[in-house]
Amino acid sequence: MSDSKQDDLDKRINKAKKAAQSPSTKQEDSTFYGKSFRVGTDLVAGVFVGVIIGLMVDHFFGTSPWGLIGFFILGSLAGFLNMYRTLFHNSGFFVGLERSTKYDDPTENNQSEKPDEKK
Amino acid sequence: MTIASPLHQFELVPIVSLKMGNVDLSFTNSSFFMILSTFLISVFLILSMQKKAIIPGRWQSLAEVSYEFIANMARENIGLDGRKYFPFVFSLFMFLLFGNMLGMIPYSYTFTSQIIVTFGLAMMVFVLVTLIGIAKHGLRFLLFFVPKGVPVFLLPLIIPIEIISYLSRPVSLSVRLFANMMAGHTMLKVFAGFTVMLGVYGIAPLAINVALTAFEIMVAALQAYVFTILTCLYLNDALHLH
Repeated sequence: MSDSKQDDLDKRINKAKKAAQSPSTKQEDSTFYGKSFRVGTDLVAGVFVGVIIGLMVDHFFGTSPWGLIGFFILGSLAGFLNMYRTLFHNSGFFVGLERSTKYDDPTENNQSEKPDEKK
Repeated sequence: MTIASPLHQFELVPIVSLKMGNVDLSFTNSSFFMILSTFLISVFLILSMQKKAIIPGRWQSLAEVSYEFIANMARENIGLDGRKYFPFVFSLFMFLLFGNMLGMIPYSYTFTSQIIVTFGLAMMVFVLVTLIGIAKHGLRFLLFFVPKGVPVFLLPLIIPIEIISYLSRPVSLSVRLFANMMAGHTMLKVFAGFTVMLGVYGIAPLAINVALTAFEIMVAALQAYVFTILTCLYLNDALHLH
């Protein structure tokens, strides 16, 4: 009886040690809701920042209305890029079209053991 | 019969008026609730961890759960070298969570429904993340805006887009929290107004209000979570450039 308890404790200690050493990469369902709440503002924020930069460029360089037009288009593209990243990448959005390295995981090859974890 | 405007709740009321030159430094109801939330967080964490029991009681479990929740979030999203940012992330989460939740108490003030508060917090995160990125990678930080595998002739188009996308982070971070809190609280007050206007039939909007209150509590927790997890993701980006 006490042996099995001891084993159980050992197992739990090992599990905790593992968890402390290598961060798990599992995606939680709760991030789905988080993502869906993000998408709308992602688009708007890109357009908004583009328009602000365009207005500032026009104000300081007297290029009205070309700064506004150009940066509005760039801002919209940035907004769609934000949305794309939020929707189609696991970790939400980041800079760069490719997925950024999540962390310098020394146990990277662990992932090959359970390939079904990523959809 | 006059019905209070649904936006009345967002009005700033100075408790102690204070003017320095042209700057209004009044202590308002918003400031009061910010201090109250900081005070409540401190009281909650200090008192509940007072016993330091091996088998935690109710309050101690609550404090431990909130600690572990954020510790796991930081570990999974930033990685092991992100541990030193845990205090910042934890403080941010608790401040937002308590702010949002205090706003759910009738007659209280929701300071997260003010764009300047959320924008201030988002800018703090933005500046911190940028500084960490520059401190850690130096000029290599600028490679952040150059995605891998893009043809050279597209770079003049891609780099401005990446920079705007980067600059839009604090905007989307702050607008998301502010808009969710403000829209939710306005909606609650609008339906409360219907309840008063409709008399006996007011039972219908009242039922909606009950459902909305539950929904708002979920939004309050979720938005604090989203803000915090995005802070973690940004920190991860700055620490581990692609």
